[in-house]
Amino acid sequence: MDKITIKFFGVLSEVAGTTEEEIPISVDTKSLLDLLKQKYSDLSGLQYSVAVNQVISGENRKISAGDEIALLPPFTGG
Amino acid sequence: MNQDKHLISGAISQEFVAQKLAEHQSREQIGAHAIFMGQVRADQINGHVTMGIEYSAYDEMIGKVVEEIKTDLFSRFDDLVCIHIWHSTGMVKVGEMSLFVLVSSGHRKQSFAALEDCVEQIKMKLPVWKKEIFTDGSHLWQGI
Repeated sequence: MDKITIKFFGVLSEVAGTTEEEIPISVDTKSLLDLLKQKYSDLSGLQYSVAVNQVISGENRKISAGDEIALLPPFTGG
Repeated sequence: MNQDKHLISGAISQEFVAQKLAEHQSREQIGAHAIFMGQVRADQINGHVTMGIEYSAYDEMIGKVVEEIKTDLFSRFDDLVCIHIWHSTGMVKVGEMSLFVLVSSGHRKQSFAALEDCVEQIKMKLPVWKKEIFTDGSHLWQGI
């Protein structure tokens, strides 16, 4: 089965208990997030944006095999 | 195209800053360097005292975001010669440097304006996260 890589950053890596995991492909980012919220219930209360292959996308996007999806909490560099 | 390494493991040393400035001596069209240095502050949050900050970053995305910021600045400031951004990852202790931005231009005015703009864009767009580490061993993720 086709796989995708999920990356968790900042506080989200604590919520997920990992910084990265490989899971079977979801059809789009919305269905992926629904799945992740079921898997990690604490995700729901947190703010984050979603990047597909290092590009942030505010809208629901189709996912292809091998894509890298990252969940990014608000940036706090500096 | 992106030849800069933007992430530095641990604190940014004074030697590194000096070396980067020295590397610009041969660029003779430069008349002004504006520098921003971010230093880790000893914050006190709900009775906890900061010992340092542990930074994490989305390494593969940083280069794209830096190029985006540079393209934007070069399109709006025509006197700019070069822009460099270095950010720490990992642990940086109170008093040490975690961000070094170097903006160079022909004349002073644009270096000041572009530097401020650049730092604001870094704060907004650079995929970096800080985990405040306290002296009592507890920690706090900023920005949540």
